[in-house]
Amino acid sequence: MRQLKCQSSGLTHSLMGKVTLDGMPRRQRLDYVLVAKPNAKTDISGYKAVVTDRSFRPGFAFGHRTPITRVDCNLTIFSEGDVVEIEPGSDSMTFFYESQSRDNALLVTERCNCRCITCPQPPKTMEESRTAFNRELIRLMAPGPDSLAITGGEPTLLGDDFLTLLSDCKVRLPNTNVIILSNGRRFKDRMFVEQIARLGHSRMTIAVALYGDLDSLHDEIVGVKGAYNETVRGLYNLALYGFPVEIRVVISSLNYQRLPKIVDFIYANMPFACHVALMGLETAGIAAENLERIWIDPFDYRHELEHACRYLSRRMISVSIYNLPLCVIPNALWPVARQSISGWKNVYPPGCGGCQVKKDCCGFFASSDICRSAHISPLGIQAAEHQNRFDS
Amino acid sequence: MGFNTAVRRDDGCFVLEVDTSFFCKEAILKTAYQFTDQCHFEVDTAGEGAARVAISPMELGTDVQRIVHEFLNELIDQELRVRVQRETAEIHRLIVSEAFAPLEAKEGSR
Amino acid sequence: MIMLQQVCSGAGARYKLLPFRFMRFDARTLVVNQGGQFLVLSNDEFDRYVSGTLEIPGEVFLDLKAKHFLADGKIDLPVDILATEYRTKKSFLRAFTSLHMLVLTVRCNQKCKYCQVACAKADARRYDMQPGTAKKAVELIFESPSSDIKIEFQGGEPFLNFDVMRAVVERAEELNRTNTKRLEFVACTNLTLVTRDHLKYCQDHGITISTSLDGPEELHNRCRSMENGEGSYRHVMRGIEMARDVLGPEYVAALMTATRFSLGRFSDVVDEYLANGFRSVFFRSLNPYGWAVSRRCEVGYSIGDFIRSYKEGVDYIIGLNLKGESFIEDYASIILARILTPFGTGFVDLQSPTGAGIQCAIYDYDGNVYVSDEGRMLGRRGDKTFMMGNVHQDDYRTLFSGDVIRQAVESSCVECLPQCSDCAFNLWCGADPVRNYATQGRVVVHKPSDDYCRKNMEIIRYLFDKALNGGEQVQDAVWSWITRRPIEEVSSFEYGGKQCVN
Repeated sequence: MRQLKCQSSGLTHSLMGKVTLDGMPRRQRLDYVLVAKPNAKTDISGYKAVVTDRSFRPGFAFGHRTPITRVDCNLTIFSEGDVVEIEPGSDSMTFFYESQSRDNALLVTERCNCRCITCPQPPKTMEESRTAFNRELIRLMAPGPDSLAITGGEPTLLGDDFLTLLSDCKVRLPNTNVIILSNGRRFKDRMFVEQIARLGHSRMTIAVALYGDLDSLHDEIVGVKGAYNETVRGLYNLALYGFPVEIRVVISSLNYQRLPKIVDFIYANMPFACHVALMGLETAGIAAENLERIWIDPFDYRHELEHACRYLSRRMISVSIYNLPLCVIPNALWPVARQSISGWKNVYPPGCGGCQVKKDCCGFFASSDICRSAHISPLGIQAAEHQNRFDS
Repeated sequence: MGFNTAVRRDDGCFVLEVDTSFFCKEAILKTAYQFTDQCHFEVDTAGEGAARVAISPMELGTDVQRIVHEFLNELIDQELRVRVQRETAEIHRLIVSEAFAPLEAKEGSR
Repeated sequence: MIMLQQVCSGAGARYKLLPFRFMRFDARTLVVNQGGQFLVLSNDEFDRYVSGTLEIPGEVFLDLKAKHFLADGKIDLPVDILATEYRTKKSFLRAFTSLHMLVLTVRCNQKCKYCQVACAKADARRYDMQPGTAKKAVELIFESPSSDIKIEFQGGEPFLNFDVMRAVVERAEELNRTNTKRLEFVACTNLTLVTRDHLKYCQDHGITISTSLDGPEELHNRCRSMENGEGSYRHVMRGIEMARDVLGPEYVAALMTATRFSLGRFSDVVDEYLANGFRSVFFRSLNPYGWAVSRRCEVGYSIGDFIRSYKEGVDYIIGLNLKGESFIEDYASIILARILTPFGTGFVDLQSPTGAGIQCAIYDYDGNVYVSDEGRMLGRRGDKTFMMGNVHQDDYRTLFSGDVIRQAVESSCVECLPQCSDCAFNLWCGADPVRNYATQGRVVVHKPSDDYCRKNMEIIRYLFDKALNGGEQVQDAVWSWITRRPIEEVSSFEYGGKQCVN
């Protein structure tokens, strides 16, 4: 999530509010944070807080009850409808929802029942419940984005809270497509899947991570013996209840050789999958600790990747490549390479200077600077033209 | 191994003795069946642990020698099939019954 | 010579075999399981697999395990997966009878040499289906549990009894107001006497046209002539053009029947279809019934000859595909879909159990109901073995759960037929007890001498080989058939995935 440094006055504890740039009528201000450069004539009473920039000089006799927060940057980064949390204790502001972003996610828990060696964010074993916070966030997000990811850790570990949050999404964000990112294990419990189905959320996709076509391979990567069995059963239960299912395969040195066979496995055993995402590594967290075991230059698996993409495309299973920059994948696969790295997470290292296809390339994870492909190179006019041909 | 060399009789028929400790009756009959568009077959016991297979042509000019060779190769495969089927029979039964069992009959939650 | 291996079993085994069938194939061995998954192994790999001596964890071991040919742990998940896949392969059974063919009349204005219908002259009206019979038939059709109903008008020439065609359509639409089935109509017509008004009616009620085009003019006219002996080609072309104009090209389909004259000339047939804007052809072999049997010397051929021509025809089409021309052979696309996709395909001529009765039924002009057209042909010759009953005397239950259907189904499960039960292709193939009865006098045929088996096995083997060994471009062609998309779409990535968040 995007974070800013700020200073607050009149604020003793954190608050979360919805951004308005234009202002709201008095009676509707309770949830809102006004982002503006106020002057003597601005009526700021009733807002949860006012966010302004360094140009603000205290001394105007405003309603002292309204907390004022000053940020160092330009106010143009705020958009109408964003949801921010202001934390005076740490002088920081966090954007929990950005209305203009494609990449909004609800982090529902940091606990996980797997220990994937490719995991970029180490899970926690204990935490305080985030459900009340997230329920408030959902409420403030309304009417909500086009799509919202429910992520963690492992969201299904929340049990009833998971169902509650989905129910809130259905009620408060009825036009938002929700995508749940999960390791799939808990869906082996058919009754649990039935409970989710009974919520009647009609815009839900469930994305399940599958690392191999064999229990030995998948379990080794997720660090739990028996996970594969549970995940496959979970996928079958999801199909039984008609949920749109997506399968994500993170590619590492452990499974890249079997990648063509893995997609064959997916097609033969889970032909109900509506989308398959083939993903490059984010080498942070646990992945960084296991780098030697898992790292492979994506350039080196380009043949397996192309074979897998063509395989799925022939069979009309939608395929996407996530997290791989355009210079390391074959040109033929550019139509399926997605802008998969959230705006606040991605960078273009110095090696990308002058590249003509930057705007179509997902770039790199800021967190993955310890290890990147040896084949990064800016692409010239020809490549850009090639890309333009696809655009037209 | 498992059978002796086929002996050619005067009437153009080939006779084979098959060791039934190697090849079961089912395999012998299944193999014979495959060639019953080209040859007549007589299968009976030839004493303890052996079966006699007499192969005679249906039409003049049928190359029975070639059919005998094919028969022997096919016999090995048929015997293999019988053994595999015996080994996997129970699992096969589970698959078929699971395939067509109604949902209510299955476990509530796995 | 193949050596007999011990089959791995017992407590000391390092893995368990899961059920499979095998076939020797060009010095290699094909293994297929109940889920339709398959692998081609070297003979040596196969021997080691079966005898339990595979290197663990070697590539072959892992591949066989991933495809559920062996298990080295608990079997409950592989069993569930294979069961689900097997059920999927047979999913066409779920709907029960969805194709209902109505013989509106046995009158015809053509005299095709291979015609199965013992047809009557164009003016012999007593061979027409009466409105009362048609109404009863439609009411019975709507008792089918299938949510898809396809009513196919056949004959003779169905448009000779257009009034009853209309009555059927109207009654069906009326019944469907309270039924909400997906209702489709097809008219199997020679298109030589349709009028614009006929076609407008078809357009208004969604009736699609299926016609016969055997090839270029002189080839088509060899066997398909008008009552007066004149070739029908020009009339057919006129009809096709008019039908396309009124209904749109997507609603006009054509198929061909191979005769001695068309063997070796399937490419000419394809060219004719292409020139006339058709995008697919069905290379149909002659059925061994009706006129064709007595005219076998004139129009018939050996099954070996047909297979040879079939392969040439398919090769020719693939050659066109590789040059960017989209064209499909329908029979091949069904077989390939069975081999390469996990899905079931209902195709009444080749499925297990047979489609006769449970997938399709045919209502003769006199109200007799038969399990298939072939059953009806036998009925016309006095053999009512496959007659389910009559619409005027019997109710739905009697017709559709009687002994006739039962016997047909029981005798056509490949899992229980000699040779079929062991055949590696059996999930992709089928049995036709009516054809067996018509050609050999019994519902379970003598397999080694069965032309139907020989044809299917050779064609399946040929297509299987093409799909596996044809190379990348042939793969694209094959999938353009299965997914019915233009070939350039198959080899690109025309559709996108969703945007995502990490």
